[in-house]
Formats: sequence, structure tokens, C-alpha cells
Amino acid sequence: MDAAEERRFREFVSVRSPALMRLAFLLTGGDPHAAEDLLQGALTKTVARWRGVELPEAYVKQVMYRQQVSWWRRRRETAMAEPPEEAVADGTHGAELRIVMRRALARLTARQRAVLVLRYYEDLPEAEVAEILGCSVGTVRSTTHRSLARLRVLAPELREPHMILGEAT
Amino acid sequence: MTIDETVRRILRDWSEEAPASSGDLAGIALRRRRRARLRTFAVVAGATAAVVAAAVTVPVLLPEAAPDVSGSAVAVLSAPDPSTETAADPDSSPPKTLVAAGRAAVYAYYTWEEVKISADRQVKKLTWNRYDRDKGVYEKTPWAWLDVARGGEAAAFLEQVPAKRVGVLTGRDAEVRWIDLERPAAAVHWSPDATKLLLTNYSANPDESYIPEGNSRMLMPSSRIGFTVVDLADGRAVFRARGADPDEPPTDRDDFSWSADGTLVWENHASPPPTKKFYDLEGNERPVPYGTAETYQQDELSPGGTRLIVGNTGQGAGLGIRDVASGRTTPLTPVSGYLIEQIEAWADEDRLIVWACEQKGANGCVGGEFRNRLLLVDLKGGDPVPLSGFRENSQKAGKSWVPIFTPR
Repeated sequence: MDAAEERRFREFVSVRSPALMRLAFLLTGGDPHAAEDLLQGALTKTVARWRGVELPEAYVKQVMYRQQVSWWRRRRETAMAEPPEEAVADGTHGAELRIVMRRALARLTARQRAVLVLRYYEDLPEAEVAEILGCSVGTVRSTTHRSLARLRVLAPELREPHMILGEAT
Repeated sequence: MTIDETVRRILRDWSEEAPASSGDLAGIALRRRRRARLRTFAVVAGATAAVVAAAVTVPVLLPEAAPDVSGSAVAVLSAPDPSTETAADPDSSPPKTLVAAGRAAVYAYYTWEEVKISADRQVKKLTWNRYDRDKGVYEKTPWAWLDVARGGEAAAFLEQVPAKRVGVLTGRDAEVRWIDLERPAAAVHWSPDATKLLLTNYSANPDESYIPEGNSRMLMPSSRIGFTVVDLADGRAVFRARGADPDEPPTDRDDFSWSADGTLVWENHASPPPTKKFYDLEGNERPVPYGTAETYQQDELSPGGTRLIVGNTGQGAGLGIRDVASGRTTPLTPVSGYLIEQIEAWADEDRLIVWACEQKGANGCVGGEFRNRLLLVDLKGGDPVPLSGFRENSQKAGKSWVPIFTPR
């Protein structure tokens, strides 16, 4: 890697790291340390292949997704990062639901969470999610279905009419 | 709202609370890459040596050639608090419960009193209060100086002013770790990443002064002698001599502060522009980084770098916000009956925490300009939110308090 390539890499990280950090934060269930480790690992892999990477942001994201899922495969355990206990409740049902939902999302498996993040945060179609995770469209569909079902179990409030983020629904 | 929409909104909302990275992501990735290459080379060279029985100076190529500084640092002294909710105590001055908004929080504030020490001299004695997360209130501390690291858990303090050692509490129930100093110090500040301390060294108490006569007060000659940077990874404290500039007008204190990225330190420059003078950690003067020396504000650039606080806008208001992309400056005009007097901190890209008074007439304040409260203002036009009660008189001991804003 020559000086110009190194500068381009630094610029890319400087500009895109806040967005990538947000993604890593969600993938790790709101654990800031794990998120930084995940992103740092993905960037280290990216820099090793920098010359051949045409779309660096897509590459970093793919590394993060696959890393997260493979960690889960190896450990066979759920990520149990806890959202902040002392999140200041504003007294509305919306704030309570938000806290319950975050807690529920943090209790999903890494794979379940990755699928939900790809589908609902990144707004990607099922086929693209399948390509990124290296599985079939059917697996994406069934994982999405199971993840939402698990959220309903972990956050029973989702089954009731509710207020969210201050808006009546 | 369907569950799909709910999940979508929750994820977007939650992602906004992701903390900024605490380290040099690109630099660490590049260093790890170099080190991996050197290790690979060393293995190959070692294998060759075994075959040809030749001496190969492999150790020279090992980590010493590319030290991974990040690996040895005490990086998790204080984790960022992911919360960005607004917390206010609008009926109390000083506040009893936490004041915070967006990424900024008041984990400590001080009050002061003037203590007469001789016929013509006095000392300004500070009383520091720290936010106790477990109890949910601010509590008085016994320390002469206090600074809380990002996240609100770790604290650094001085027992007296000036002091020959600095105490560090790495967590709520942690034991005090003492670090001896080569020269006495009267102020300590955490670096933005909470891995270093910056102390300003003085040969005498900088808070000592002559007793005022009428409305004027004689200042003592500056006793500042330099600054010390403590690296918490190894506890090493390095002093850099940097006395007060004799060409600058005397001030009470002349403390050094960290630049936003923690690579430089700065002191006030009383003959602006620019408003600040910058030095590297070895004490060498450095050029002023962009967007840092328009005012005496600690952080002038917004967290995302899109907006900049500027001083005299020439448009009737004292302060303004410059859009970095377009260069257009918008003066901070009165909002909902409040006159904005001073900016304290960026809460996020669109909101500022300011001192504001109740507006009286065009440019006046109810009760005078020194009666003010902390207010959260929205640059996009949302209603302002009072964060604290009114200080009776910001300039007078016993009627005022000074918040210290720290990243959450």
C-alpha cells in the first residue's frame, strides 16, 4: 500500500466510520465495545485487500455481517449485551416500549439480529440479504419470521395497540 | 403501526445512540496490517535461515519496528454512556439531578467563595460537586479540583491547589491511583479518549489575587510554568515548560485544554484572531486546526463537523452558527423569550446547550445580564428546553455555579 492508497483509506474511514459504527452498534445489540471491535476487525481485513476493493463500504459491511454470524456459529450462544439500565424514561408508554424492544433485540441471536438489521435498517430486499449472508432466500424469509416471532415473545407489548416514540398508533 | 414499521423505527432510533469510535480506527488497521506483514516476513526469513544456516536478524523486524500503541493503552477506563436522552432540573440552581442532552452531560459543577488570607489578598476556593449515578443526584466532593472523564464514571482530582500528585478513580468503587508530578499542578483535564491527563503546572496558587478595591482588582503575576501529560497506560508523567506569554495581558488562570481530537493542547490567545494557541504534546507550537479558534469555546465545530460557532456575526447578535459547506452564517437570535448569551456545548448536530436570560426589550435581560439559566436550543426551530434554574448572578460567589460539560 503506497502513500496515496493509505491516504484514501484514511479518508474513507474518516468519512464513513460514524455510519459504519452505527451499523456495528446494532449488529452487536448495543454493545459499544463489541461494536468497535467488530468495526476495527473489518477495517483491518479491508486494508489488507484495499487495492482490489472497488466498493469499500459494501465490503466492510459484508465483513461485519459475516464476522458477526460466524462468531455466533462458533460460540452457539446469543449475544447478551444489555441496553443501558438507566435509560431515562420520559414517562410515556413509547419510551418504555423502546427500552423493552432494545432489550429484546439484544437478546436475539447474532444471526437473527443481522437479518433484521439488513431487512429493516438497511432496507435490503430478501435476495440481497441472502447474497450478503451466503444463504438462500428461503432461509432469510424463515429467519426473519422467526426473529419477529421471538421479538413478540420477548416484548409482549408488541402484540398490543401501543404508542411508540410519542406517536399514537 | 405494524411490527415491521416498529422494528424499523426502533433500529434507526437506536443506531443514533452509537458512540463515536474512541480510537484511531484507520491508524490501528494500518499498524496491524504492517505488523502482520512483518511477522510473515520473519517466519519466511527464519525458515530460510534454518536451511542455509545463515544468520538472519529477524528480531529487528518484529514489533519494535511497528509498535501497536493502542494495544498497551488503558483504553476502557471510561466507556461512553450510550444514552442521549435529555435530563433537566429546570427548577433548581445549581441543579440537584443530572443535566444532560444529546452527547453532552454535566457530570460535575463547582461553586466558589473568596477567602481572605491577608490584609490585601484573597483566594478563590472552589467546591466541586459530582453526579452520583447510583443516587441520581449531585454530591459535594472534598477535592480542590475535579474533572470527570467521558461516560461519567472515571474521575481525576487534586487534593489542593497546586498539588504535587494527581488522584485517579477509574470507576465508581475503584481505589484511588496516585500519580506523582515533577512540578505542582492546579488543573487537570481528561483527554477526549480518556487515556491521558493534561495538567497545568503553576509555581503558586493561580487562584490567589489582591482584594478588590471598588470595582477593580489587581491580578498577581502569572505563576504558570508549563503543562504535564500523564499517559495512564503506564502512569508516566512528562512535564513541558511553557510559561505564560509575557506579551499577553494577565489573567486569573491560564490553563491548557485538549483539542477535540486529543492530539494537541491549547491556551487562550488574548489578542485574537485566532483566539487560541496550539501546541503538540511535546510543547512545540503548532498551526491552528480549522474551525477551532473563532471563539473561546472548547468545541466550536459540531460533532459531525457541519456547523461552526462563530463570534461577532456583524448582524446584531453576538454569536452565530456558520454552515461549513456553504459558509453562510446565521446569527443566534432570541428564541421564545430567551436571549442567548453564551454557548456551552453541542448536544448534537442540531442542538446547542447555552446560557440564556429572560429577554427584556430588544437586547435586555430580566434581572440583568448575569441572571441566566442553561437552555437547550434547537437550530431547526424546535422549542427551547430549560435544563436548569436561573443563576442569581453568574459573577458572584454564593449566587452562581459553573457546569463542566463532558461527553456522555
